[in-house]
Amino acid sequence: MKAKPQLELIYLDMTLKMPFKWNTGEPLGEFFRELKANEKIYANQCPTCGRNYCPPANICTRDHSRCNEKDKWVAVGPKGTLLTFFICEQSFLIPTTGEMLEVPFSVGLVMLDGAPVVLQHCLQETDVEKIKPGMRVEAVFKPKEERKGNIFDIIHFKTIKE
Amino acid sequence: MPDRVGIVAAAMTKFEAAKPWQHLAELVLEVTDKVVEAAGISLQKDVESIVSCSQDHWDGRTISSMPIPDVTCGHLKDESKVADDGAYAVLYGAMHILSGDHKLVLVVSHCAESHTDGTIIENWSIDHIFTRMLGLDYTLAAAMQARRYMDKYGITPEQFAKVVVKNKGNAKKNPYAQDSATLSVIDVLKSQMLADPITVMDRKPVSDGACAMILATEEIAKKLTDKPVWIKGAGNCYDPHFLGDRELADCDALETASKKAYKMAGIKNPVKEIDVVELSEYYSYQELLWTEGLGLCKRGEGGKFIDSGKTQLNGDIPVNPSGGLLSGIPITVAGMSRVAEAVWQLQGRSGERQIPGAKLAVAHGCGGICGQMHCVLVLGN
Amino acid sequence: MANEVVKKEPMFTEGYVIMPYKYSVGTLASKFFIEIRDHKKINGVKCPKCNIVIVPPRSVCIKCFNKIEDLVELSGKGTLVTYTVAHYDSAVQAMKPPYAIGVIKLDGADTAITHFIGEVDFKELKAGMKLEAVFNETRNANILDIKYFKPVKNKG
Repeated sequence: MKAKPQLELIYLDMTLKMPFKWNTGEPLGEFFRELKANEKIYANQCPTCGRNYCPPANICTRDHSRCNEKDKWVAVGPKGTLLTFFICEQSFLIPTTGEMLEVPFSVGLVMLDGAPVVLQHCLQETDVEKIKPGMRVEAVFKPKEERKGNIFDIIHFKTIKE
Repeated sequence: MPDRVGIVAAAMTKFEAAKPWQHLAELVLEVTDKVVEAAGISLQKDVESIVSCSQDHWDGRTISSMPIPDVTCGHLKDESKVADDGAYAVLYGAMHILSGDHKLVLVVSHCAESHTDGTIIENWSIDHIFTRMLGLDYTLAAAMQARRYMDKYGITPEQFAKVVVKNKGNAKKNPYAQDSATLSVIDVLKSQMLADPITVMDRKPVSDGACAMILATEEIAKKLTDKPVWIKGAGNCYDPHFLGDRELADCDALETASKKAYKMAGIKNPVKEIDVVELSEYYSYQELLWTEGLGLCKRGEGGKFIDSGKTQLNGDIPVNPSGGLLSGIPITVAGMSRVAEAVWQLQGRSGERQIPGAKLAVAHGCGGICGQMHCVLVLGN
Repeated sequence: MANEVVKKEPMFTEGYVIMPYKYSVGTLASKFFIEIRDHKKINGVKCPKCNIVIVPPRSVCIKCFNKIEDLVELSGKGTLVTYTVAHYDSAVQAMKPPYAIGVIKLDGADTAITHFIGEVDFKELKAGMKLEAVFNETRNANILDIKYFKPVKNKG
């Protein structure tokens, strides 16, 4: 159906804004406590199939085994190897903050040292010429007083030379 | 094709105003663990399909069912979601079985209302063109429905308050209930007025929790338990969305849904044949209105019906022996928890709130503004 | 699991869900809002088949599902069907409590609309009372161009 050209069409502007305070639950809570207090990144392993999880999982999503025993956790990183990445050049509204994304913005999948686990996080480097899968990266933490116990206690992964 | 659907087992979390030690998927994990143990099955080998009920806005994300397969062993299995009310997830789970596609289905529902401000979600569920900007939410709309109900039929706030007194009292016998109390009608009437005639006690409290059930074909249900509960009838029906399109003092949609369900179950005289009712009263007046819609009393007689004492725990037809939604059940879980309570009643697992010899139960789920949609399930053993 | 960590603080992630929308209201509702904005007139629609008058306007009849294309003018006066007085604050409310909101059946219409009731002593609110629309001075082609409905004072 085509609107008649002379009719003014009305639009309504509305913004949904919901404040959220999501429970992290456990063991994710313990993972964040360790990030905040000790700059430690932890992973764990399924006792049945050996699959590794970072952040630690309480059950294996493959075989449903319980794997949340803290004494079996292993500290991984903060160094690791970049598996793959993207660079975002187009800004958009970040729904959790309401602010526009600063571009360029890059995110990588980092295989952390210590266990075969991958953590997805921001990369410091945003120049596509300077990012290569296989390059070495290291987590950069916020200063202790600024850490809140969430994933952004890690600012990003910076490129390192070894 | 199978002709009967059996409910093998049901499970719930304890309902609480907040459950900070569990994230959403962990609520589902808790009830999945419980229900799998109660049914004596293997999650990996036996469950063929998962039907969940949750809502994106309440979870604060899109695709609120995304973490469900992780905790229900659902990877590479059939998974689907209902976003309205948990009773519909039970209905769709039953359809999975009746279709012949699956023999054993896990249904789950979860919600943590403590995570956000629910009035925003209510407001955003309301027509965006003509109504939302007025700031309407479910409590204001419910107050207008309650007022219309009072005006048309002479129902009183005292009669609404009796529902709160009954349900919060029943909740004392329910270890899963969030809020229970010994109250008087005066306590309810004197509590903080939200929107005339609805006080803070007339409204269901903010609640977190989850519920799960195992549904199976007749053959498998009989193998797994000596107390299978059969879905004997089901009906659901929608009313128009706009309040001004409806007669708010009558619940036409629920009347239609319950008649369909009773016809399927072969029920001719609901009040005589049904032993126990678990219904979804988000506000106290709704229990009276829904008892009318369920055909337990005539139109306009919901007030007299509570006065008669028949709906008390020891009455002829106890309504919400669990304590109902007023004792604290989250949205989306609401209807499924009604079904679970009814299942436990029929299996004789309801502890202190057990209705002796219960053989036929009705569970009711509803959603939307002023009970726009209703789902009625008749269960028997 | 909870037992292991009971001495620690539960952890939360805080944030928002923010989503901006620009809804197109469609042809019929555009006409409805423009009539209010430009002429302070509230319109409904009349189903050409079953003749019921519906407000707010819909492009499909709610009774017989016949297509509806044209608006009909209503007087802006009507009758209160039901109401409440809001005594609590919320993040979405457009008015400061206490305020009255109701369902109002406009004269000549078969369905009713929801709106505020103003210039009224809450004790005088009663189903069946006659109301008339009051419009805002500044109008932006949305439902809040109607300020509220107020009781009709002159009897007869």
